[in-house]
Amino acid sequence: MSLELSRNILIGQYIPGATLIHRLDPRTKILCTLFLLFAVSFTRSLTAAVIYLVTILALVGLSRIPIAFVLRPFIRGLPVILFFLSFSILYLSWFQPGSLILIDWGFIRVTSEALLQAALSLVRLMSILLLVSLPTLTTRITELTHGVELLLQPGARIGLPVHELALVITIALRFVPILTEELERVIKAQASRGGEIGELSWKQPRQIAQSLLPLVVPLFVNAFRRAEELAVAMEARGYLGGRGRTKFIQLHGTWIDLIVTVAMLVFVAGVWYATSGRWL
Amino acid sequence: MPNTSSTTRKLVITAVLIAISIVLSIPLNMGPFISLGFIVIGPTIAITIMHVPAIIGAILEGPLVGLVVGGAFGLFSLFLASQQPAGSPNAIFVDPIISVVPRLFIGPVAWAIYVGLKALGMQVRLISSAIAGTLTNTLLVIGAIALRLNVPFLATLASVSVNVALELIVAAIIVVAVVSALRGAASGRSGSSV
Repeated sequence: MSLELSRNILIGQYIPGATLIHRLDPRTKILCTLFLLFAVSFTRSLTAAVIYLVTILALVGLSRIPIAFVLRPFIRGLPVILFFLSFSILYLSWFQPGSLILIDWGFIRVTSEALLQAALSLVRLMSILLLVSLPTLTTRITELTHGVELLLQPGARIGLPVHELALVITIALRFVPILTEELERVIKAQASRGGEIGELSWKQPRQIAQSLLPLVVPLFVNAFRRAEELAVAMEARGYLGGRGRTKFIQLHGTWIDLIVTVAMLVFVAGVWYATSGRWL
Repeated sequence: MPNTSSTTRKLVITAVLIAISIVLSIPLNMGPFISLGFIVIGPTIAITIMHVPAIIGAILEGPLVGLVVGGAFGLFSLFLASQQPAGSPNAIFVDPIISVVPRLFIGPVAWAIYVGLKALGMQVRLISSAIAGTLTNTLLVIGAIALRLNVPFLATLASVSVNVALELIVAAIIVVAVVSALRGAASGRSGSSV
């Protein structure tokens, strides 16, 4: 049983640095992440997905964040991922006729198509896990908020509560590592009192329910306590929402930011175009 | 602790509930707990409590908070589904009408039941609200699947009936426990926090 949950999730953690990636404007980073996220999520070509993954790994390398550190959550989750993937391989092999059958042992059948799909899924998952944590790993949370808010600004014209949305997104991101740490503490506290969370099997539904409650309830209660404190602290400092609010941090995009954003868009679209309509 | 509900408070609580949704889906790999929000109870049965933050948000802070938290949960499941191999059963959740739209109603329905049953005792209101929110999730998602994929509604519902029953019980217990604990903390009767 692993008790270091915070190693399993990187979203919301920040690793200081002075690399090019760290110094880019948060808007640039958000946009590039979105381009890659969209492309990786919806490409149907394994080649394209691998090219995107290599690009993302290069970006991680450029930001001088140890690859092993960012890949740890993926490796930890691998058993579960592979378990689900093998299910989908069997399912897809059975229900997608018309592709090359590699293994046929009567009930169990594996087709090339299904294997390809599973490989694509695996590459995707790895890319996405890296992608969602990269912006917060290399950007201070306040900068990220301003970036999100400025990017959403056009939505303010149609009545979108842009400032509030940006605030909610950032607080949520910031709270993930805090709550993870707290959950870890609660699990340890339960384990020290003889709670046997990891040793249960699905044949003991009552015990599962009994061990779920002491984990989930403190998670909620602690989160609400922190939320309460944060709200009071914000109001005590005169927080009144977005209207008329000035910013201490001013974002200044440079020409490098523009070039990086455009180059990323062209690259992502180029790879997409070159591989469209093909599986491999 | 003051119990006034300001905009700031609502914003922060919405954010924290979304963060809880994310934490509920961290892979744990501990026995039956795939993650805290997704628990395997039988060879073919897995139940979820991912919709509970929306219900609790709605009860404590009103329908809008519930709606936003439910919507975030929906987007989250859409995002996870887009990672599944195309054609596998879970990939149907890439359709926002199946993954996002039904989840928007969890909070508002739970809130309406909670407020509508004002005459009854607190426990009854909380349990009814949890049941209503959970049923909203299940029925609307299955309804949307039936609508979009042209499968019979009742047969699909029957195939998940055991999950639904278990989810109702678990959701009701968690909602009652969490809300009572929070109300207790607010009125000064707080015990250990861990």
